Amino acid sequence: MNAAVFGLTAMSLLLLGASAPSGAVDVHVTTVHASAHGRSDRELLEHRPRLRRLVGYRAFRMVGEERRRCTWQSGEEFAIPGGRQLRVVPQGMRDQAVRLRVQILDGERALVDTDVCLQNRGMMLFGVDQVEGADGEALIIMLKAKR
Amino acid sequence: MERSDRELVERARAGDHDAFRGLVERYQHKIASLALGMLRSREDALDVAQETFTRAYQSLDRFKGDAAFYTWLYRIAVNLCLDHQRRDSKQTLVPLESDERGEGAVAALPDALRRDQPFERARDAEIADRVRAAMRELTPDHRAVILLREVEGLSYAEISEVLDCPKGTVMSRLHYARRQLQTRLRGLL
Amino acid sequence: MSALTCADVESVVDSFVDAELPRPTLLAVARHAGNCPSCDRTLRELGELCEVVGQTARADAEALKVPDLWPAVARGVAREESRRLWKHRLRVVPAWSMAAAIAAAAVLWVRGGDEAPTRVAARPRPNQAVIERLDSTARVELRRERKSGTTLIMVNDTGGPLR
Repeated sequence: MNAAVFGLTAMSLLLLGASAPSGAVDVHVTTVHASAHGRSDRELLEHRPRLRRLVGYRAFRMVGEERRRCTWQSGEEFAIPGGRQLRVVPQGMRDQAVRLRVQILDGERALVDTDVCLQNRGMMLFGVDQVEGADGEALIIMLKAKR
Repeated sequence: MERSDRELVERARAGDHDAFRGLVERYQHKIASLALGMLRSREDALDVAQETFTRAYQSLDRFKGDAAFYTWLYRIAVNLCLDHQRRDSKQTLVPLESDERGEGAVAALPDALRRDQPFERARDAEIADRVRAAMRELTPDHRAVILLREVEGLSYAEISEVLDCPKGTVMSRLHYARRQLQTRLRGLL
Repeated sequence: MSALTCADVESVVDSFVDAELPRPTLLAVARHAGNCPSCDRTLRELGELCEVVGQTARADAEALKVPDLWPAVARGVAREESRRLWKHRLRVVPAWSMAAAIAAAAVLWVRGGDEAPTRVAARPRPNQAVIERLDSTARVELRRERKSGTTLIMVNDTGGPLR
């Protein structure tokens, strides 16, 4: 009877994914320049329809791409154009989502400071837009997290 | 030996990805070209072409085989182009960009044409630009019938299958579109 | 077939150019145009228009460089297959879900049953992101794509350059 209870418990723990996070999180950051005119880079062809729908611009050029293995509670800073930084701190798992603190820093100023639960292997976007500019352009950051 | 569309469709339905890939490779240029004619933007044309094949895969079970595969594929592509243009209806259609022109996407008419026509090279380019401008001024529905007839060479019956409208509607749209083009190109030809 | 009038020819001029007329009518139109300079001109002008429009569009199509679309399409195919697999699993595996429910109940019994039963969550979208907190020193806009759940946090900053 005790063995059966133990077996069911072990199986259900597995099914419910109730485990403390161990290991690291792979963070993949892609920076993209978005504008109203011009060509898009081939590497972004797959993402273009989604970017167009969400961001509204028509042309997308790769600016940079970086992958890092990040440990829990430890921040990693990614340089992004314009002297800014993207700071990512993986904080834990919640079900199948990775909890992250994400900041876009311009010197001491935090343009964005957010706590987000992103589906594991999922992607979210951050954008810095300068609508006052005549040409209409934006910087887009594609952030993916995988545990 | 090259397999027919019907064979590839049957195999793709049974889960053969290589068969579906064969269909993509066979029709990707045609679909992208049709989308280019409709949307006048290389980027948008490639987006629509990619989406056309994805939708075709999703709907493969619904393809009955009573129409030719390519007319069914054209129908998906035309509908996606029309949806795209409805979404963009508040924006002015963007003509092909100058850097795309540099790539030859809208270059002057090819040498084969210059041999057949008594026009100077510069005049050929002017005609082509005026034709493109006149096509852009057509509504999407009228542009679709012109492209399907003049570029893809489809019959009225095939065009009516693609656009899912009666043959009479195809004929009246073609008639109207051509009169519009003639008005806009008066004095040029 | 009796001789056609100019009005008859005018009504079928597009079908003539597209060779969509029955053969006897085609011949009758051609015969009429041979004797009528006005109709002949109409047919020629329409033919030239179709030729030029077709050649321009075909030239643009020939010049179009289309990259291999298969890699991107293949990803769409893979997503569709994954979706179908999930749909199939949910339909045909009640025994599995029954076993999971029993196991969950057993865990709750072992842990004393103090906690409220866990609500079974809907399957999350692939890019689902839940924003728990959002602060900014600039104007911020949130956008979300419904189907995939992809979230965009857009900040409007008139500060530094974007490149």
